[in-house]
Amino acid sequence: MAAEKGEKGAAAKEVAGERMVTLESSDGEEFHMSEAAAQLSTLLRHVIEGGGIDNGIPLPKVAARTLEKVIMYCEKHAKAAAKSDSDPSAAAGSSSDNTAAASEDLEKWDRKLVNGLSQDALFDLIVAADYLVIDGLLDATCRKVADMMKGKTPDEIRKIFNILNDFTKEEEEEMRREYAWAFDD
Amino acid sequence: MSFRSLIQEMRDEFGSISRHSLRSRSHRSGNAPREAAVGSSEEALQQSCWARLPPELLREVLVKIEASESWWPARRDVVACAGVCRTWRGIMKEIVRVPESSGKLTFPISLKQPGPRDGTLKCFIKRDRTTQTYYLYLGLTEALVDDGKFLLAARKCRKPTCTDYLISLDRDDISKGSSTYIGKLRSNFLGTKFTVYDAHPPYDGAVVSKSWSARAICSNQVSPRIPAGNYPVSHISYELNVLGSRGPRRMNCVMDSIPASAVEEGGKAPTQTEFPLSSLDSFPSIPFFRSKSAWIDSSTSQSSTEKEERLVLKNKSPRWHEQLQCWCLNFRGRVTVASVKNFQLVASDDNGPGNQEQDKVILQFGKIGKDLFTMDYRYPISTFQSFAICLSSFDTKIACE
Repeated sequence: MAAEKGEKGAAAKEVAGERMVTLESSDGEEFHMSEAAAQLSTLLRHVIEGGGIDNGIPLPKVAARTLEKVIMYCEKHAKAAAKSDSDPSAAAGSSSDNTAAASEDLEKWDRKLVNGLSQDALFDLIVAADYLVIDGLLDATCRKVADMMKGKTPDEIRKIFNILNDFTKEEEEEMRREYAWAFDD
Repeated sequence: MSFRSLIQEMRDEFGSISRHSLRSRSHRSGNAPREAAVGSSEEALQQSCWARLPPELLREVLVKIEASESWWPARRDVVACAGVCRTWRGIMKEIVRVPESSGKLTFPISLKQPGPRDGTLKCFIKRDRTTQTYYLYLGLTEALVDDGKFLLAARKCRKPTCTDYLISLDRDDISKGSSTYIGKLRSNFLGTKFTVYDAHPPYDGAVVSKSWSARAICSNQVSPRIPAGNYPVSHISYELNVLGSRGPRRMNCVMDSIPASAVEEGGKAPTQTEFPLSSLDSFPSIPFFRSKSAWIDSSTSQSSTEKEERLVLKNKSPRWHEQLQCWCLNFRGRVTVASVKNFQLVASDDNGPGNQEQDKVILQFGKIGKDLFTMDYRYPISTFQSFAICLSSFDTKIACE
């Protein structure tokens, strides 16, 4: 096991010159992901660096459908980062318009990714992004949840999120006063 | 492993916030169930996935809301989230910073807290002569007046020996018995001396001028809010200056609830954190109140502040402009109509040797149109105190044109 430390194990195959890692979802499905993309997850990065990925990395906390989205996100962002790194004009600092446009496109892509999810899928993706420590994905998913709450009354938020109102009657009165003041036009 | 059992595992692992509150609901007496009864337990778990979002992730989401909805009217979303449930309220209250450091008004209690240290909060006042009512708004743009966000309303009530201006959070309900009443300004018969009263204690151990019981009411009852007290927080006096009624009047404001040290290096002003409720059983295990201004007697009472020197504010002396033949103050464009009511308050020199804070205008008030005035204020006084002081300027008969 330790003998092949230099090669980082059989699971780190090369595909078209790119090193790949194998991930196993909680429901037993196998996924492949470029090592560059895996680096976006602090957790995976540590596992890879530790060399313990001979037979693939098991992820008992992440289901297949969620892992699929995670990999989509990471591959997209890894490619975008590679592109801007290899762009010669970026180094010269003359393509600030290009980089701004590129990052705007990426943001649009992120929004599309999270907008297409059901609430359950979004929940699972937030939890997975947190577990795998993928900052950008956590940011995008939390922002989506935040957007879902904008312009809503406390009651509407409770309905969307199925949250129990646990204020006492007296506290509720206080909430009503506060709310009436905040929404006074 | 099947998808369902994965969900089961995750639910079990990520805690039982929702399950706990579902169970405890049935133990609470006198409270009607607020949510519809759920079917199978699995259905319940499926439906409440968001209620089981781990606290640190919920916090991430609420932080995003607070950061993006930083100004009115969008800021109301922060208040809405704080009204969802106790957990959300606790987190949101912890995230939102006081106006002193953030320069933002968020909850009604913000109006009782010291204004920003950096810059001023720019507001405007509309007067309705027919109903003797005054409305205070927070300016939303750089313009002198705009749609504004409503903050406070005050109504003049004339009495045989004095006049009261009742101040309320509700523009339509301005009465002492109202739950939105937060204080008043009382003027003496001559309109030369005023006292600002806060309906709630401004700090621990505050002396109340009218006695009322602070004992908690039996927790089985649904208790109304404590009847408002009368805590004097400021004494204002107006005098003619040496030129008599031809010159600007002299204002003197003693801020009973603010120590003089508040405007010195490292100084602090008392900050209320919650409006007090009447029943003790409303203190939950999840911190709902982080208040030190509670009306409950506290052994850590800041009785030393009573002995400390009080902050005194005086109005800045205008200069006589020979060519324009009038008294002038630099209002920095925020006041456009000459009026004897216009003023700028600074910390009095008497409070100590010269320090930079004394040059800062703490409260500025002035006319910009018919029945329209601007009010700019900053640390260490609050919106409520500023509004009350400005009302006195409306009322006083000293040196009227």
